[in-house]
Amino acid sequence: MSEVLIEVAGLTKRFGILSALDNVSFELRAGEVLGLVGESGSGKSTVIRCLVGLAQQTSGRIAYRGIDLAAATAAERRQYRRDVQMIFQDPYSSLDPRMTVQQILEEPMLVVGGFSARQRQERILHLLHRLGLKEEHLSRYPKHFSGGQRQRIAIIRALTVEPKVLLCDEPVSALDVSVQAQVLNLLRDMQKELGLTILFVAHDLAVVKYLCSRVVVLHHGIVEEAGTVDEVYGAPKAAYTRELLDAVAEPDPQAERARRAARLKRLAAIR
Amino acid sequence: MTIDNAPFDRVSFVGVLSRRLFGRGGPVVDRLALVMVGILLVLAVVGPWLAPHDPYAVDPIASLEPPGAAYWLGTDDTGRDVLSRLLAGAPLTILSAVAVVVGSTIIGVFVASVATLAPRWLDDALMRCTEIFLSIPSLVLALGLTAVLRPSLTSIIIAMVMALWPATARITRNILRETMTSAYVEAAKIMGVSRLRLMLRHALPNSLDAIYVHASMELSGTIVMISGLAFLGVGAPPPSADWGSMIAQGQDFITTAWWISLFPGLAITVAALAFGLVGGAIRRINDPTSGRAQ
Repeated sequence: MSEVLIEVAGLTKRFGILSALDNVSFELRAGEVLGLVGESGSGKSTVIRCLVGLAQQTSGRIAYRGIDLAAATAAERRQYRRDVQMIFQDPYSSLDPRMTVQQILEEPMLVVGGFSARQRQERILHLLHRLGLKEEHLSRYPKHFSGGQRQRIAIIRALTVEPKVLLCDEPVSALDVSVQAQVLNLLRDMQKELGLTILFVAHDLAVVKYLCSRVVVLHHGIVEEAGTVDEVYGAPKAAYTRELLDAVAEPDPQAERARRAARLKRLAAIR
Repeated sequence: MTIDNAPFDRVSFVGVLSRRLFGRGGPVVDRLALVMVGILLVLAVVGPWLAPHDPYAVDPIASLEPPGAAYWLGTDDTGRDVLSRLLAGAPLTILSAVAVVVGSTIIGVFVASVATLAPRWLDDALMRCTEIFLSIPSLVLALGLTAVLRPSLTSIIIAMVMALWPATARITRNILRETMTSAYVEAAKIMGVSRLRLMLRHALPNSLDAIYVHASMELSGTIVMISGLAFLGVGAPPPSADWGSMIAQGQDFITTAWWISLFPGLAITVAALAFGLVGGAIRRINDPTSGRAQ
């Protein structure tokens, strides 16, 4: 098995008496795409916020390549911040409206340091073309782009500093269905090309099945189930996982009718 | 593909303002107010050179002349031309109000930036300081401060700045705090952007619109306050033609020579109204809930 990049152990986060995360543990292994699923309020986003340091866990451990972040040196923490980049849910608010695309894409490299002006430009242009944007877009502002284009800009921004891990917080849920697949394909292609490790947070199980190799199911801040996509989707152990899977619509209308009928029968049996 | 539906999501504030005010569909009142503000600002700069008579020349023979061909707005008790004095007084009233607002905004924004970046205790300390200032009515505070300093236009401006910056600091701090929680600031924070850069590069530029709005709203109140102070006799020393002191000088003749007080009063009203309307228009353009933005 490949190296464990990020280890989350016993992560607990309380807001007053409310427990957002309760003893959440999982491993993110090099090169995999791990799905973190659950309904809204299940604590998915809190996991991400703890991982990037926007929230402080009440207790529990987050380790990167075996180094506990709480005990890491400044240099180790800098390395972590460079290696782990994030894609936000809403591409309309995650790009500074007063910066040009050029400035937005340059910022991570300026912060990390060690890139010459020429290297910066080369990397930006390379990624820009790879993700289907044009050089003339560099002088424009975020408002001139569609949601899908903005999310691609956000992906380029994350990739400029050659990260090892991408944390994606529902990166397509704010987008039109028509461009969701496009962005997902780009993420998958980039993952394969660059050997990225991705933690993919979503509530849409169909999206997770398409992209991920393993899944962690979160419900009310507790890990209900974890396993490979085939295991969890094929033979869900937890009742909550079955409920989630039941709610996924089928593309074939006939199958969809059968699914709804079966689901209603099951729900009636419970009551 | 272009998406232009988010009101805060734009680049040139001035561009949007001018388009809203001069483009098709802009409210007529706002446009009139903007034109008026433009005229007032021009007069504030070149007014003294447009005066038909010497605003300070005493002429006992022509005293208390009613408005007419020779003296369009009449003369006061010492025979000085009211129109010339109004023009000479324009910079004293309008430019010093602009100076006060610019000064208090700079100090307020600086203190707010420090408070936003500072640790909790310093933020609290700074905000308690502004609350102490805010607990004293600003006119009373300005009066007291000018009394301590020597009465002159400079001390009035200093006193007014001291009286007004706390409100600006408080409002700006709240604006900055809110901008700091936006997703793009969080994104920058995750990248490891330093707190200073976070402030200068992300939070401040994106809070400027709201700061402009506050400053423009403040301008009209400041004009009234400066005139009020001058009326009370703590403005620029006589014989300067401050609009507020002109009203005070005409008080004794209000029943016989109404023009001495009326015209400076009208000037103050028009100026305060025009600046206030433009401030309101700027605020409405900025308000994402107004639904008229862009």
